[in-house]
Amino acid sequence: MNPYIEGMQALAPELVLTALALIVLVADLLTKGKDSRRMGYLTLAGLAVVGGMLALRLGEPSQTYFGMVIVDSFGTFFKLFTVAAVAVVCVFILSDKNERKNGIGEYYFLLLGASVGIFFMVSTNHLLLLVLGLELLSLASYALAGFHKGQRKSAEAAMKYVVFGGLSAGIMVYGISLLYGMTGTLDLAEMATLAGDSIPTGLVPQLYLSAMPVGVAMVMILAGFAYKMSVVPFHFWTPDVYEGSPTPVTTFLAVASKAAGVAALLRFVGALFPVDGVDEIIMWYGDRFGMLIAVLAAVTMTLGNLSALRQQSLKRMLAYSSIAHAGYILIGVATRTSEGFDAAMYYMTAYYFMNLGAFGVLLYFESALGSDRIEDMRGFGWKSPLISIAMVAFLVSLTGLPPTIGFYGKYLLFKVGVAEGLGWLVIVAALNSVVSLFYYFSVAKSLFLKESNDERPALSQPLFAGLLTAIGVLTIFFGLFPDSIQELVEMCSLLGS
Amino acid sequence: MPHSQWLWMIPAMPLLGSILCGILHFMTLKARKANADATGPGPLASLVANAAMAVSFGLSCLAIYQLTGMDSAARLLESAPWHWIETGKMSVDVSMVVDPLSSLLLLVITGIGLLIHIYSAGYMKGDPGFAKFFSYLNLFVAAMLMLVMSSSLLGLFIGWEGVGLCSYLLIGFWYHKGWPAEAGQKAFVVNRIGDAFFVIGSFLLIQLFGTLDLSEIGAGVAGLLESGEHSTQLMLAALLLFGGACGKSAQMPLFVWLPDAMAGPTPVSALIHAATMVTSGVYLVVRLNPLFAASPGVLLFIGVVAAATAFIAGTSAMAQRDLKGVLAYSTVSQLGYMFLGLAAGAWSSAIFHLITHAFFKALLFLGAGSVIHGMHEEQDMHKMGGLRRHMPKTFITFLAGALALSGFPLLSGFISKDEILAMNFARGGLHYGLWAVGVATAAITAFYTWRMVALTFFGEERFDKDKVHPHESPFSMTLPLFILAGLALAGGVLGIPPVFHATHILEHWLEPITAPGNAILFGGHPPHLSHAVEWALLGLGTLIFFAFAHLGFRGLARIGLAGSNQGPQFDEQQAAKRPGLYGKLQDAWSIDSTYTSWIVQPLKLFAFVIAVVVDQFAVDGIVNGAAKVARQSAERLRKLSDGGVASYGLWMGAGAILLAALWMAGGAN
Amino acid sequence: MANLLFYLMGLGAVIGSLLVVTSKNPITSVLSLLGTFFCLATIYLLAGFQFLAAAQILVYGGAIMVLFLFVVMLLNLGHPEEGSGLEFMNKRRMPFAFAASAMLIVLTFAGVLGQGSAPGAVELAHMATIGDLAGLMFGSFLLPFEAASILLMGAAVAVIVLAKRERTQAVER
Repeated sequence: MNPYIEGMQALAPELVLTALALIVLVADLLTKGKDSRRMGYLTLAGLAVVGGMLALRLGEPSQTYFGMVIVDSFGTFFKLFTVAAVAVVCVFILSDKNERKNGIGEYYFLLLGASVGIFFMVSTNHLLLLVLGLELLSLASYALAGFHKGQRKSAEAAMKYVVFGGLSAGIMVYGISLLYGMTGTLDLAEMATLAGDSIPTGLVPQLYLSAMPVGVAMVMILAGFAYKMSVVPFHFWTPDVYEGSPTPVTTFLAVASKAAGVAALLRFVGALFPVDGVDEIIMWYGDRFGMLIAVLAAVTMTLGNLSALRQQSLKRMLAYSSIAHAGYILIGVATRTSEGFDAAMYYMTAYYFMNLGAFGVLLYFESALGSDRIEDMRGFGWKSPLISIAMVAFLVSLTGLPPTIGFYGKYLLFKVGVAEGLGWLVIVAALNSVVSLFYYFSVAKSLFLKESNDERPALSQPLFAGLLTAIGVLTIFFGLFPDSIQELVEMCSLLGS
Repeated sequence: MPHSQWLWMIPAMPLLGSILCGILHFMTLKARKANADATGPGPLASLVANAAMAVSFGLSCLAIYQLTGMDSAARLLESAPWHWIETGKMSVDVSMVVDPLSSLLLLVITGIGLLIHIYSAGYMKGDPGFAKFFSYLNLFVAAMLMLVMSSSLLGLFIGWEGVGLCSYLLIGFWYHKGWPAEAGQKAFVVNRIGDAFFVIGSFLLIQLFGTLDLSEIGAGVAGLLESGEHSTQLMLAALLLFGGACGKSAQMPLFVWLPDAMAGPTPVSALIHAATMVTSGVYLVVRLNPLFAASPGVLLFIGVVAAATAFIAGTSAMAQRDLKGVLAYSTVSQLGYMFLGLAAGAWSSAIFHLITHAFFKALLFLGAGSVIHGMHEEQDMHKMGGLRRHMPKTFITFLAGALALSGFPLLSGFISKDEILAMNFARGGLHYGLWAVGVATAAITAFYTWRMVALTFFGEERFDKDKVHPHESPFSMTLPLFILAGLALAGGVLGIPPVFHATHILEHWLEPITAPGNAILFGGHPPHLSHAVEWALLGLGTLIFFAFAHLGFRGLARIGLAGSNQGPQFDEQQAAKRPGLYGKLQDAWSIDSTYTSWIVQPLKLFAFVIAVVVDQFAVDGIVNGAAKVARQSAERLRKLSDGGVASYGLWMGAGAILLAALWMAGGAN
Repeated sequence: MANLLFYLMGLGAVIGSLLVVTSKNPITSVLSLLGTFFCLATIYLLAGFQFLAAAQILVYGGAIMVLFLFVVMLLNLGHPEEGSGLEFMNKRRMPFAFAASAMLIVLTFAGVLGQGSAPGAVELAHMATIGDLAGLMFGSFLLPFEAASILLMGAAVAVIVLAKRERTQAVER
């Protein structure tokens, strides 16, 4: 068959998603923005179709199209993850009382466009396509962050995001160009092989010649991923942008955008620096690269957790908490083993549930109280018990206590960390989770162990409350029965078994 | 062996009860919203919770009955495993196990738990959170049962964290007072420090044995010892797990949360902070006794920590004015005793003391609760006195508990304590030192116990008789007291000292559990004392009891039992004589405040520095000086194109360069 | 001769870009940027990339720069008020910035100069002409080319979203 047609079939989910984005945009124009809710339902229906297409592909063998798009279960896992996250974000938008009604079509368009970017990011080993996907995601995110233009904070968030995003993208592209100049290829798999007939190409000869420029290039590229994942010291935008953006957008940034960064980093490390590298020097510098990531992990979780301690605003606290969690995920990346990657993927899944839940509850409080201050949530647990109990489940999971999905996620990460000789990092992480208990439970304390002096009644939003409760139930369910997700993760393992 | 699937019912019943009580609570809230005076279905909760406990207790008895019918070496009931994780690459199974060790703890948890539930029905009557209280309490019991019954370290950890969470909720139960919520959080956080060690220790065990199954780990230790490898890792694992036990069982240096935990309702103190949860560290060590036996150094370390804890907490109890404060420090001190037993390899003695302590300390706490209840929430012993006339039933039962705690000859506390001390004496060497501290602590215990009894029940009434009318508690509260009093007095029969030529029931019962540890530690022959030495030690214990009980009691004893107010005066004299020492003791050797000033405050400052200086003002804050920072931050809010952006950019660049330098450090070529 | 021109143009590009970020007057910045682009175009030409050089001048030097100038002049940014510009010239921050850049340059180029092997450059020599470029763009790089079009569309909508005035806001005015 014609390779182009075959490739287009392989790219069907991306194509459908792009078409969906355009349809939403045009439909919104045609209805003149009157039917904002219908746009949401349309988007959800389209996402369901894409999700279905992706789910059918799980477990299929890995294949490469156009010489750069890899269609494998690993990519499908993260695409499904994105679709599921964006779907929940859409429900958030539908339930957000503060959401403006006009221009909603663009809102969904940008979300879907960003998702297309993520789709490209997670399914390629080719640095050019990676950058294109990353930029698509970034550009859409900038506009999303500033979507509430009337609000000063939102405008400031967008501005900061653009400036830092531009800076880190610049650093990354510069690093890529250095790497290209040295290796003569943009394909990571090619870079890692020991090929080259007349002219030696690839990473290995360059490392033998001089590791320094390779190192600079690597670090610069790492900076791009670290930026998306909010890893210290590329995290500065996170608290401000998370705080300023509309909460559904914050949720998208915290969950889907971060997952894209994780997936791309996993592919990068997995392709260039697997534990069983092709050459001695690759393995030596692989250890070095793993150590860099381990150091970043330690610094990131410590700084994230300590900064979260003093936050008064739940939104800002969750922003710092998401920085800390990026640190935990890096433990799995730093091991560079199949088990470590699986653990990171599992943790991302756990992160998905607990953060979607926590941000959803935040959105609920913003609607009900008009405030995101933890202090203002005093005694609210007895007013809307279902949502508050779900929130406690999310907090317990974020802390990493049983019987929640977060516990199992940390269990896997710590286990693989100890097994791969990163005991010191696991100790740092364990101590960090002690610190995190303090601020997570100050929210629980505020909800249930404080007197309320607020007479405002609870909001009645059955659909939204139902969704949050369902996420809460799943957070506990997958903590009690983790094997289904564990199996899924193992099936989608990047490095195979 | 057929699976005993019904074992799951034992923790499931309280869990179910907890859920039902929770529903009842929310129904009550709803009813109250409609009509502020409505009681709602809340009072039903005590019935539900008690029924759940009763069934659980019955099933536990059934389990023990089945065990007794078995061959002593094969005493084991196991449920079918729950495949927690079952994938291609890994599998973790958790099953419920009842063996001689967990059966004992089952009886303690469900039996004493049932009594405390009955008591709580009276104690918590009329509390707006009545149903909520029983929901938490039942949930706690479920988690505690999970802890002791799990076959896997992972299941144990789930219970371990579960009891921590329930403890947090129950300590903060009366949160409207303000400080209980803080105390709950403190308990949780301090416990988590221990848990961090626990977690790392268990990962080490996975590394060493490739499994989390408790019996497999226990069995694997001997093999590992023979091969002579990994002895450091074994030691480290034991040390880390003991760190976890330190948190939960309130040992030095992590005991500071327990005195604060008294902010919870008194039945909670009795159940969680005396009888069950705090002893789970002891359970953990006994459960993994081969692991600890394999590292004598760790055992000795445990002994030193335990001796220090017993002594420091005991001396602190001497100076408390709060009735529950005395009991709290006493509990810490007695937990120290249990670990002292473990340090000597006296596994069954530690469990023995755990059981007798559960009897008499639960009794004392419940008695104290009855007193506080009768005194309208007064806890200061200086404002009590003469209560024996007003609350005779409480007085008699409390007296029984006090006799047992302080070591009246042949009562439960005397025998179990003596066993631990004798074992340390028998080990000799450095254990002589531990023994000496133990004896000193026994003296201290007798002192503070009788001081407490004298201040509370003897002398004149020091409260305002017009305002406070002490009254005896209702039958639902005194019944458990009498049952526990009986147990406290007679509990010693479980382990009659060898000099009386009777079977040591407990040691015999635990034989299959302790044998591997004993084999490793003593080569199968635990040290024995001659009868003469045993008699001498028993005599010494008796002597110490009478001497120091008298000392604690004497202010009143000298002038007869009535009409004296010397108790508080005695306290004040002591305080006046050595104000520094007295204050120090009252403050538990200032350990808690030392933590505050040396750990908590610096950490807070560090967090402040990071959050405010580094993260909000970036380089500018450091370079431009603090004064300008405030002005600049105001400026920043006004302008979008702020300096912070450039500074952040610099940080990012600096970070990238640092990373590149790290990549090069010690390069390969 | 070619070498001399290369170094001259390189120097011009560096000076130009420094002026872009340090100048207080936006018009100076824009014009310096234009100069930088011309220098870069010359370097491309020297390396044999005629098409790239032409595109550089037409697209960046022509279209985009004119747009920039229009915006700057329309918004009357020509006369900045004191202290309202970006604080890039913060004296205390300068040494840090210089140190960081210097280290970056040293780290990179000390290595690159010693490398003596740049397969990327060799590879690039094969795609000098329009024909080569077209072959790549519609051949092996067709997918990135299409992805870029989605990217541009996304960017266009994003810009419209940010630039469009809120309806409520417009009413208020």
